[in-house]
Amino acid sequence: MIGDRIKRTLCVGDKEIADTLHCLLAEGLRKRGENLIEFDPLADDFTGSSRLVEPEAKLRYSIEQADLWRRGTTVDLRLRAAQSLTGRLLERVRRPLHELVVFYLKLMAERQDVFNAHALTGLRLLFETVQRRAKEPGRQEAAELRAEVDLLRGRIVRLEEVIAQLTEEREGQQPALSSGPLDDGREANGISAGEKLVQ
Amino acid sequence: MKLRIDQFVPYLGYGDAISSHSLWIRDTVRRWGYRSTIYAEIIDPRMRSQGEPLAHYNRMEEGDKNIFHYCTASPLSNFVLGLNREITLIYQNITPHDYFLTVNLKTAQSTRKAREELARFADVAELALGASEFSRLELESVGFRRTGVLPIALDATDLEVKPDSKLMRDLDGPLTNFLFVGRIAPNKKQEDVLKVFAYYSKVIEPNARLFLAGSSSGTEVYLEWLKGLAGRLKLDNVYFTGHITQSELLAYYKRAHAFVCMSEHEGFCVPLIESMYLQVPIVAYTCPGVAWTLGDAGIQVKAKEYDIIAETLHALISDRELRQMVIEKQNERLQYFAPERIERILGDYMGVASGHVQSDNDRGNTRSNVVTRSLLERD
Repeated sequence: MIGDRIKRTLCVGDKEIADTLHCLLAEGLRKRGENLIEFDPLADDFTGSSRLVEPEAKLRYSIEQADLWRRGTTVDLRLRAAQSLTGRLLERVRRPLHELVVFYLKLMAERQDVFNAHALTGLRLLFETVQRRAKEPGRQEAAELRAEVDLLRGRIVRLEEVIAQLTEEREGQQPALSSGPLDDGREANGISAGEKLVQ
Repeated sequence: MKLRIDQFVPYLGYGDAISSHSLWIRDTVRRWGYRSTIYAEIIDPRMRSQGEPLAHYNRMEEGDKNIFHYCTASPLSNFVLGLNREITLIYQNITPHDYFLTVNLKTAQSTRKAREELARFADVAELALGASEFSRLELESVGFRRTGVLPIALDATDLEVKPDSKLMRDLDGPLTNFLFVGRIAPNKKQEDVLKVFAYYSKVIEPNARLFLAGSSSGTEVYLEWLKGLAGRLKLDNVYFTGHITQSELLAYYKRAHAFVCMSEHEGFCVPLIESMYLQVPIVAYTCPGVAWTLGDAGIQVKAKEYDIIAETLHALISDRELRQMVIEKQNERLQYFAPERIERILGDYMGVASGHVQSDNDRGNTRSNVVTRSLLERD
């Protein structure tokens, strides 16, 4: 498989160079493959896959660029000042016409800008959601484990209550050693019920 | 009176490929005995002694020739069309506009217009020359009838200047240096270089640096995004140099362990020639322009498999024998761009070659012959 990838990638005219290189590359890639190295250009560091996630990088780039360009959606009046008399006369007619066109273009541009802003926000949110979802399995597993821990804690509490009840019943059958719970909430053995629950 | 071979460029700048190419052509045809001037719409103040503004252009005489370097939509196009003379068009290619839609709307509009306007010259160009076969095919598809390839000549004088010594010292040390040279632009795909470097430095060898040399003028938005990506990938050793001088550029090349190019659109890609000349092994994504310039040299990749590309860089750095083999192959390819060879091709195309060129190669100088022969020379 490594050999095929090398063949698909390299384009070396000289056979001797190609053969030497092929051997060196196969050896190097195999050696580094043992260390399970994974490379994700979007993340801040190496995280998990040996291939670069190209489409995501391009999507992020496009969104960033679209956001930069969105701010420049405007129209200016471009009319060169005329020097000659006829030119100046023509300009008196052309200027209001240009201004009218620019006015409507600006209206259009503003509407387009609002649309672009919403479209971009939507895209960005979509991108973030997709990324978050990609990381979801780990989170879901953690949530399931947390729920299991809570369930076990509940069982412990119930067990402790049963034990406490049984102890009480047993003590009721024996001569009293103490006068019951102390005023400060501690039981005779020095451990409060609350503390027991937490343990 | 000597005949003239003049050139028109929209912008005569310092260090860019089109300006350097036009200067080389001017010096070459002057050596052949012609008068030659570069006329430009805009001239960088540092290049004032090298070119003339368009207003200084005098109408040509019978037998004079004009070369027009087409690279952008500009008023120069109308000026050249207004000459009502046949021209030789040189085309290094134009980046498709959609690369710039999210980075610089003005550049996107201008590159789209430039591609649309290219066809206007199909009828007035007696010959259209692409810098690579990829560009030539594009000229043909637009409707140019007579086309050919005139590669950019390797101008070693620029690569023999003294490298910046302070920078050389800073770049010395145990760290591995990776380099990409080219303006910060979405078609150059610097983000893919970052990803390759991320894999290399996180998985293979942390003691490494990446230098992305090139201006970000007009593409600041993209630069900021790249810096953000470098931050998200937690890459500390990435340096965006901005525009640099020739001596600084040489220092980067001289201290680079490998040149990494992930560009997806190139007409020619001069930095590949520079890397070959300065003995830096190349790993490049094989887009059409790059594939033509490299021929069978360098290590080219058809897919952006970052781990494999990073391992390839590691192999080039750790295996001395492999590195040497790759550099030798690059040196062979470099001969293709030797100035003497490109000079012969230019002479043939222009139909004005000096005597020694014609006798050395025993080539006819009728126009049809010239084009056919030169086309045969293509890879």
